[in-house]
Amino acid sequence: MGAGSSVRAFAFIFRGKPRPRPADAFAERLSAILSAHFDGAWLFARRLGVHEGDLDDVMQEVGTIVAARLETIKVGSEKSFVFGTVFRVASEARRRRMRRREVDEELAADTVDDADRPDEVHERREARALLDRILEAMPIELRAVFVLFEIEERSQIEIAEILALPVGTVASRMRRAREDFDARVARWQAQSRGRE
Amino acid sequence: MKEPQRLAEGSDLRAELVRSARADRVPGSAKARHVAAAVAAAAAIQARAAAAASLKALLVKALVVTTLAIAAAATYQVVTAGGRPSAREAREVRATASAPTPLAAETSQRALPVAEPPPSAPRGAPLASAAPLAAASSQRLAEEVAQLDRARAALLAGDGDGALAELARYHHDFPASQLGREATLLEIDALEKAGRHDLARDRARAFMRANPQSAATKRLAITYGE
Repeated sequence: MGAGSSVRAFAFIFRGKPRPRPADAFAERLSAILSAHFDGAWLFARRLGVHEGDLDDVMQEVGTIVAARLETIKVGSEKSFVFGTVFRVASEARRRRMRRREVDEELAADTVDDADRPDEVHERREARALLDRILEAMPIELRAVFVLFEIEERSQIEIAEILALPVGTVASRMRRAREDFDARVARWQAQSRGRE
Repeated sequence: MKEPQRLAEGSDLRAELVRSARADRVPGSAKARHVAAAVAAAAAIQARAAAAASLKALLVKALVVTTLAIAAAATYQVVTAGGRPSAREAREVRATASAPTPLAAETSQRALPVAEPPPSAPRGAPLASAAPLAAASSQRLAEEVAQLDRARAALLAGDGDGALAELARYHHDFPASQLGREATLLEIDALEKAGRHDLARDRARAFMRANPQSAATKRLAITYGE
């Protein structure tokens, strides 16, 4: 098959679709990647402990980085690139925030704001706030694996792909994260019992 | 690979804590806002990068043109002043044209034949015309670049008709343009953007016939190949 007929075949494939222009193709791919992975990225950032006030900035920076590196992102690796970027940007955002205040290792047992509302939503909000406090002091590379496995219930192989880690590293971080989490929960329970 | 049991499957406080995060929700407008903002910001960066790249490439071109123009003018002036240049003239040539000085000095010795001497070229006159000639040429190039960049910016913003208007202005302001090929390539994209596919195809094919070896031709052939 000569070069001329290859070009014709290629042109035939493209004829029925909107003709790709360099600027359009770029915007299209950027838009597709960000749309597909935005929600997952936002939730991951939130669960890594990015404060509510910083989430917008973090997501904007992730978008900027994806756009800047679009040419280098291999087809099929988009999720891994986005999540890896969220991890780095979230880590940096937390470091900046921590430099501005002391990290409180001592967990307050009391997270109740309204003891008169025993409904499920209220309890879940309390539990959610407590989860954040317990994970706050967990090293972020452990927290990342913990979040993806325990909260998002992804497989260890998928986690390895997302964080670009060997599966063995994922497994060992998972174990350490679990030990860390268990210890903190136990300590909180002891403290809250102590306050009764 | 067998996964360890997940905490959420349990019934203790740990399970409750982990399950509480299932209620996390992305704010409604966040995705649309962020995707739109990222695409817009990227387009602006691309436009600036394209402008910088084209300006750089054409300033390099302008520099070459300028240098040669100075050399040519220096040679021309010295030669038409008649005979061998004085030592003072030779120094002036060297002072005015720093890069091509060796060339100018060398050719001034040989008195190149000139087709039509100017009406008046007083002996010993300083090479005043060489600098404005070169400056005007590079100034014009910079203006052409600027006008094409306006067209490109409109294109990247999705405004095909606006880009065509800028290109029309380009051809009006610069009838003897030096960037005609770039203008044509932009015009093809602008016509597509404005929905005038047949016209874009005609322009593209004309370009490809006129520039068979060009890299742009290879790109155009993908879409318009015949």
